[in-house]
Amino acid sequence: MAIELLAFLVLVTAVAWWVVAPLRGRPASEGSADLAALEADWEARIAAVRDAESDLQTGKVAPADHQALDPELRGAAFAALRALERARARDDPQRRCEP
Amino acid sequence: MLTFGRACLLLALGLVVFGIAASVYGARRERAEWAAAGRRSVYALFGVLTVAVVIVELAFARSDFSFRLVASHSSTTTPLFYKLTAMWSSQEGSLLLWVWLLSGWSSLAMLVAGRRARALAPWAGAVLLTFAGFFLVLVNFLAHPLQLLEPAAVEGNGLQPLLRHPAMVIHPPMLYSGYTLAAIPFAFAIAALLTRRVDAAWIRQTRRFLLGSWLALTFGILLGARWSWSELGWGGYWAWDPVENAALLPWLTGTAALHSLMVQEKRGTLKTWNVSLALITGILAILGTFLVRSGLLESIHAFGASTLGLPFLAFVVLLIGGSLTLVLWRRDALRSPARLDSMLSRETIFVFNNVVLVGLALVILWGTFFPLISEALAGERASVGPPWFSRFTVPLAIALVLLSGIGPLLPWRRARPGSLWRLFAIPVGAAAAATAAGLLVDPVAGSPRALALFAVATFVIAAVGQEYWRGGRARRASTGRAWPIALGGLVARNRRRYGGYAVHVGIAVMLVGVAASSSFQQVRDVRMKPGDRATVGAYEIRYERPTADVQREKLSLGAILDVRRDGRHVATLRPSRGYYPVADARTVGTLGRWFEGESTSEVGLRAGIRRDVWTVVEPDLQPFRRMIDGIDRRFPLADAQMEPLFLQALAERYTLQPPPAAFRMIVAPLVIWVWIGGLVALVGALVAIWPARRRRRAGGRAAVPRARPATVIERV
Amino acid sequence: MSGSPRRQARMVAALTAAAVLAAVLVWTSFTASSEAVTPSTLARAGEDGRSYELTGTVLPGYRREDDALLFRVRDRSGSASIAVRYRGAVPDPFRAGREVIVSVRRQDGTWVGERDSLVTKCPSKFSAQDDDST
Repeated sequence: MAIELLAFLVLVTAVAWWVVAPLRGRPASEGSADLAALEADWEARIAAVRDAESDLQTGKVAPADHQALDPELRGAAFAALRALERARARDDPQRRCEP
Repeated sequence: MLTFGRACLLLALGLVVFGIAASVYGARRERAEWAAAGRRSVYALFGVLTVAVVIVELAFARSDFSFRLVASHSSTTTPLFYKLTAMWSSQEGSLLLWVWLLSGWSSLAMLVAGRRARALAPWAGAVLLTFAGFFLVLVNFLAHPLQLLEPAAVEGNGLQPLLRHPAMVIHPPMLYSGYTLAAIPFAFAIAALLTRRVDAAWIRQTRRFLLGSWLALTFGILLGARWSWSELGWGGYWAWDPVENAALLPWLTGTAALHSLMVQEKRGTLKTWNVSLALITGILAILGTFLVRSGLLESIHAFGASTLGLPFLAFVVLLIGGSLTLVLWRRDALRSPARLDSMLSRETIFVFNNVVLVGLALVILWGTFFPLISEALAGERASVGPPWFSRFTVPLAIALVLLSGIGPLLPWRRARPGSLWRLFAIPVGAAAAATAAGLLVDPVAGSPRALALFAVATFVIAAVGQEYWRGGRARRASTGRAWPIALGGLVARNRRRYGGYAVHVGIAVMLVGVAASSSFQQVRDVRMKPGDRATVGAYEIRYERPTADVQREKLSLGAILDVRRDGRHVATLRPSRGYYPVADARTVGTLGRWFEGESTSEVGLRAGIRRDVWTVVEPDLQPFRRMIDGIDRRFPLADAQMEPLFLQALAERYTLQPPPAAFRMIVAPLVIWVWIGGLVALVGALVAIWPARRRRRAGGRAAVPRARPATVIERV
Repeated sequence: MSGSPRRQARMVAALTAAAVLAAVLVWTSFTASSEAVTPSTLARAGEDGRSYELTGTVLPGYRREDDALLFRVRDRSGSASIAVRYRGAVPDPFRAGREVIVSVRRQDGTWVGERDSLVTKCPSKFSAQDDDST
């Protein structure tokens, strides 16, 4: 029983020390909480471009329809990428803004 | 170790309380260090619960009967494999498993989302910890798995014989994984509503967990059905039992969510639909757990009423009320200016698909809870049976399969009416050919529902085949690679799409198996003695001779059956009945105790590509009652040396002077395709969930997923 | 038709269809259901020709007669019991002391179980207190 109690005290101490460790350090910079949203938007835009190409290659849409839609999709993807890179640069000033 | 384990469970509860407080504080005050402490609480919770689980498992492995749980559900003669899995055959152990799995998946979710979704993760973590807290309150105060038995038992009760099967070992963890994984999208939906970040970010964090939940539930449901068919003596795999339905409900709404999430990702619409489906799926997962443990509804699985019904009901009410309040509160943020472009588009088909799935869920929910509804409305408890369920679910299933074939054929946004012929010709032609063939086959022609299902399933298979063909051909044209490599590359670059297509095929095939085996099954109940013959369908079955086998824990009495078709030997079946003794012989006698305990059927099954031949036997023990009663009177408490001799004598008597036995024989077409279809669906889901490789930049940060060459950047 | 009225029309059509289907669902469930009864209720007020879902505990002394199973079902808490003649699949856990659910109909004064409707509940695992019976 005494051994169990001792083992439990060790466990509690270790767990508590580890869990509150972030509170002992200096506060981390928050960064952009919108990064996740921008990444999601970028992924969705790129997927839309791929889907449109796939629809063309599998004969679901006519080439004329794809040509009319494609610039809009690529433009939106490019805009999403630029927004994401800007946000990443704000988050990490060391990072070069690369396309 | 028991005391240490109990202390760990209390520590877990403490971690939950701290974790919720730290996460909420960190989220509200935007203090990253507090949010980090909240995340660490989740990880630590998993660690501490793992310690508790290990303590319980060690007790089972060592057959430590000072643990009440071990004494009640294991014995020294239980094989080690079943000892280690006996934990979840009990209320207490299964609750511990539930919260341990929840903490594990929650840790994974926090690891993935913690840094990338800083606004959402703390709130989601708080919600997940609340779930864990509820279960830990039950575990610590109402159904504790670590209770001392004083004095310790010398021998345990053993594991319920029905559960001594690998499928029954894996079935609960799979279902619980499905339920606990469904809590992740629920938590992130709550977080999205609280933070008003209802765009695609929360979907991106939870999509894989939702698919993981779907995968686990599919596997768990399939295992249960397979076990029922191959192990239980009733000759079916689905009974519309309330507990079976409870697992199907979150599967249906989860399927709907998986599809409509795609529409929001691509078109920015269906926000309300998506958060609602994520919330409903999580609530249904808890509802399923509630149904199993409350004893509220009559069920073959109703594991007895317990004191947990009321706490579960309160928790479900809280979840429903809280979710509804949040959705109404944030309805402005959920509005989307985007609209679906055309009725002839993939996204519109997804919407119809979801309406059918939710319709199915509502029908099954209504039928499952009808006893309570009828009691509340009409004052008397009434229930609906399988025919009622089939009346509604079959047409809806046909519509669902049809839509699952139409969706892949249509493009996103808009299809021109003029292109429909090119897209649909082959699948429609295949369906027409299948219909024509079905009309020529006698039993199929007489069953419009089965014929319709075969036709739409053919449509789906042809549609998906066409998609693979056209996609592979395009890839081959652009890469110049051989077909297998082109197809592999096609799937690898579009895992979600082509994995999803495979799931559609798997479900269609499964439903063909269900339709055939339920519509065209032939059943015969007959009493036979050795040498007798019986006919079922096109098979002649001859009872060759009886069998008897005495083992330490089981007495088996059975039969050897010769199965012939058109005079040719097809199979030899060995159905039997296993008898397990009760531990205490004082009231029932040395031999009597073997027939007052559990008994299980060992099914004689010959599975085939076209049909299964299934048999069970129920030996008639009446002629042996005098012998059994005589031995029990003269040797009421025989020792360990005498008892096997008596059993051997009984076994010999059974084989030498076998009385007629009752047999149930079933010939069921295409049953195997239920399992094959299910496997195909699981493989498809695995392909869809598999993460794509990402190139890493120097410094270890994951690269932004790149577009294909000569696309976005170069061309704009 | 402009976009908005068309959408409204679709919404009305969809809601109407949903309401009709819901009405059919509710109607058929009340007309096709079997009343859940205990042996004492059935003994007191059971009607000929009507289907009931009988729940209760199996009493010792059940036996087979040709291909039929003859057993008595007792109230969970009480002594009233009903005799049932049943043909069909008998679940593995069936035995005296177990709770069963079976659809029955009275024919010629005998309660006859509908074929393959017998369900035996799994032995209690999730009861409030552990019991030693298996």
